[in-house]
Amino acid sequence: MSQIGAGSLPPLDITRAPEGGEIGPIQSGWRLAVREFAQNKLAVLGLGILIFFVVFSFVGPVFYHGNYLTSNLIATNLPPGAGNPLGTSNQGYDELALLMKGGQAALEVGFFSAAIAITLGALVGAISGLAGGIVDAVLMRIVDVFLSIPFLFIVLIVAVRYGASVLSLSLLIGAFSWLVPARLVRGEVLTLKVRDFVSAARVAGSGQGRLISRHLLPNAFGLMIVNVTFQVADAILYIAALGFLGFGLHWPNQDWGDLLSNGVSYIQDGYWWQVYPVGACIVLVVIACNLIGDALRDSLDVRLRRR
Amino acid sequence: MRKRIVGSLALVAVGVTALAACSSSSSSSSSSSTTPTSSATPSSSSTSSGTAAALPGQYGSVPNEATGPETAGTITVAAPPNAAPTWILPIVTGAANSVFTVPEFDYQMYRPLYWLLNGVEPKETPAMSLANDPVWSNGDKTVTFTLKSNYKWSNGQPVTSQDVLFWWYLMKAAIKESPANWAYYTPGLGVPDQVKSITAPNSSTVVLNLTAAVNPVWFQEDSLGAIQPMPSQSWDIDATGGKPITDWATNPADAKKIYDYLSGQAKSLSTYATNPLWQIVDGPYKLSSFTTSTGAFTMVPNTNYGGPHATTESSWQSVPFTSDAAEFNAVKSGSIDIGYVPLTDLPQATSLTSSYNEFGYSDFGWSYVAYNFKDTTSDFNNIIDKLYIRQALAHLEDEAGYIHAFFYGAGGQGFGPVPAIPQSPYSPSNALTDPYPFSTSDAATILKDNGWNVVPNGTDTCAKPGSGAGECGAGIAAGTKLEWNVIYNTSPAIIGEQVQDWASQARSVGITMNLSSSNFNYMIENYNDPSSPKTIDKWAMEDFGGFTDSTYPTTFGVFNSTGSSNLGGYADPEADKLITASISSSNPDAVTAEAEYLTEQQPGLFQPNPDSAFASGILVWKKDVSGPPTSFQSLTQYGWNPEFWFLTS
Repeated sequence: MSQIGAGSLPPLDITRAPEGGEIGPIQSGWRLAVREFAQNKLAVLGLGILIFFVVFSFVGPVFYHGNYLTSNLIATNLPPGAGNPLGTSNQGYDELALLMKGGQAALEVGFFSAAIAITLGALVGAISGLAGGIVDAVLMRIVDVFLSIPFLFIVLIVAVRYGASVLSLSLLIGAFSWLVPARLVRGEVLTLKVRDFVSAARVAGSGQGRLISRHLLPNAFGLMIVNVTFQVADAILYIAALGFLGFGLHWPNQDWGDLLSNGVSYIQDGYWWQVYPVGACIVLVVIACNLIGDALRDSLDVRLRRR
Repeated sequence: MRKRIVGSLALVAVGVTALAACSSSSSSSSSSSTTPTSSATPSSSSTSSGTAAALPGQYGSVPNEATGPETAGTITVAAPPNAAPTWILPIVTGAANSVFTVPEFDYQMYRPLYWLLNGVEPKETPAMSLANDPVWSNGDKTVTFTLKSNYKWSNGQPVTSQDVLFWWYLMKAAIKESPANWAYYTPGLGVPDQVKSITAPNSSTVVLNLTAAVNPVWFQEDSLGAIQPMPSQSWDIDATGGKPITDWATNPADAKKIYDYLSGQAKSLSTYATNPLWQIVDGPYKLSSFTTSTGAFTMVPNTNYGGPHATTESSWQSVPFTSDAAEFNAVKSGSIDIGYVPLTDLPQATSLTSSYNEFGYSDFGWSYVAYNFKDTTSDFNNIIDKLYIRQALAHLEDEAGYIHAFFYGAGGQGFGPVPAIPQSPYSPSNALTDPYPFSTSDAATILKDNGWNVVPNGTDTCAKPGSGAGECGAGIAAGTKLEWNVIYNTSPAIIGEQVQDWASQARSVGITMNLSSSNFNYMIENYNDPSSPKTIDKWAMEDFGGFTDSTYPTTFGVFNSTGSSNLGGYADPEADKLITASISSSNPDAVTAEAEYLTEQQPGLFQPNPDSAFASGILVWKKDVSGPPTSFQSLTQYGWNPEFWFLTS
């Protein structure tokens, strides 16, 4: 009879690091995510850029009082110089002040419409995924129908018919942006609802509403947070496109797309200060949102998270 | 009234031409015996400096006509975006009526009875008219005109009174099918509705008996000037290769058959250059090629043309562009002979002066912000019907500033329905000097003097309601705010720029204008009280563009209380009386009195006019292309006279 003796096992090497990475004190998932995010240099850069533009747009006007309200026709298209660090527009407005004002609109519309989109999308997606059957089929077909509608076309029509404001544009963009979050959340709910903790909640007597609000959506929160960042970036691009086409916000409100549109008209005349700064603002904010979104996805998804 | 709404570039629809001008209503002129050379061209004066006499408010200059040898060739002319001709029959439909279909294309082949433009001046060039000035009789109820003998069809036959009648009966057949078949038809007004009978006592004379007395100048310019004789002996068929139908004057059914056939042929754009019908012309050019997809075309001289022209005639080619930027690039590369510099690129125009001549002038018409006198939202109707309010609003407009900042100096001021430039024989005294010059303090004073609590950068409110002196006026309650919406056309951009500045200045005296943008078609469709009563309360002010004036600048149709284009429902008995006199009285000064009153009353906010070569911008042409100065100046008024152009090398 053979015997398996202790001598046949390899000696225990207590100095070797465990497979799967270092084992440290048990930390919460959120703390791990934050640590992961902080270690991503691009994410930190993106966050820094976004914070800069928030401060630039909302705090900047407190300290910098450039003229963006009363046009000055004897000071139009002036290059950067004393009194106008970024030159003046074709209306004689101070370009730096316009950038700040336009940044407010871009960020307000971006975050507000993203909030609408993610709220609506999460609700529809969760209901659809959890209910299944005919409810799921109907809701997803509605999503399909909305996805087939040319979004910008509808926005243009509504902007012409009812006018454009930060609120109306946010509602409009949000109303057409919940479709992707709805599909994502539905997919997540389909995988979550067969998990043991959901079954346990059912057995404990949780209704559908409680399941969604207490168990499913909180566990899909990471996915939603990631999606929000992309929604913000998309919304900023949408409003820039609307403004560029001439159907964005109207004086005394400003948006970056409108500024860019005005500037492009004069680009061949050498008025670079009306184009490059505002173009850079749009690009930087959108890139920042995307960097943050990528990093959040990496840090919130345990499968992608580094140990 | 041949007045056309001007909005976005693509929709500019003006006929240059049309209507004759300053001749006395009862005058008759003898048949002109013009020599078919450039010596008989529209009048122009020159200076010893080598350029034509400067016009007030012009941009650049026009060199004198070159005196050296003339060389024939093909002159390329830029066509802006959406400028493709879409019609050829000289009974132009409403849908096809544009400056690029009528004066640039149709008039090159089929001349109107009267040529109502002389350089930039809105007045007749008699040598280029097919007919002598009309003679009036019977208390201005009968008009007689004779055709000149020097004008012939390209097949050698003379242009006769039968050709005028042929056009007349086919035009009647056209509008019987649909009023939209003739762009210049106004029910009950002018031709044909005010004409009781038309006869041709001989081959060169036409007599029209009218249903009532009319203003002779108006009728000549708005009605007779719209007539384009057609070759009755060549086009009197109802099928290709068909037999002549000669009873079109007495048999409306046959006239209809002929019209249906000709208009059917005109719908076939691909055959424009090859259809033998369109090769019989009385204008200076024949069409030699036409590209349906782009609208590009080439015209070659009609050797039988009887009007004035250059000694050595050149062909010319219309070269279409898909954008202003593409056109300007072609100009910068020197690949186009005659083109334009878009307003937004005007700062670069100086780089072209070594190879191109440059000239800019605003066209005869008016741009304005229309007020809605029927909008009851927040009592706006009771606010805007007060003259002092309209005067205060006019004081907030910086016309000189707009021309400097937005037009780069290429534009002319306009204070009423007759602009300051081009000057017209009908310009009233207050058309030349701003009666309400830019001054925010004057605007604030007017408001304070009329009972308003002025809050700079806030919102003014009525502090003294009532109808007495120093009070806000009837219908305005205490606390009423000076706040309303203004809708503007997004194209061209200068409309929005002007409105934004105006709103900005208004804000400084406490008037809140809530701006929103729209597009030309939507605005004309929806913000138009006569045709869209459901939306009367949706708009207080709108700026879609403006109107072009005919040479006889009455605002009939726009500011008379029943006018079909009275967008905001302006109603003033005195204005009605003056406007009616302009079209029905024999007083030659009636239209001047009308313009003077409207300039004072400000039924809308009159704005400056940008220079308008090819719809927007300044004209440029290569230095080896020459001709009489007026033949280039007229391009700023939508007048194409390539028959006077020649190459110097």
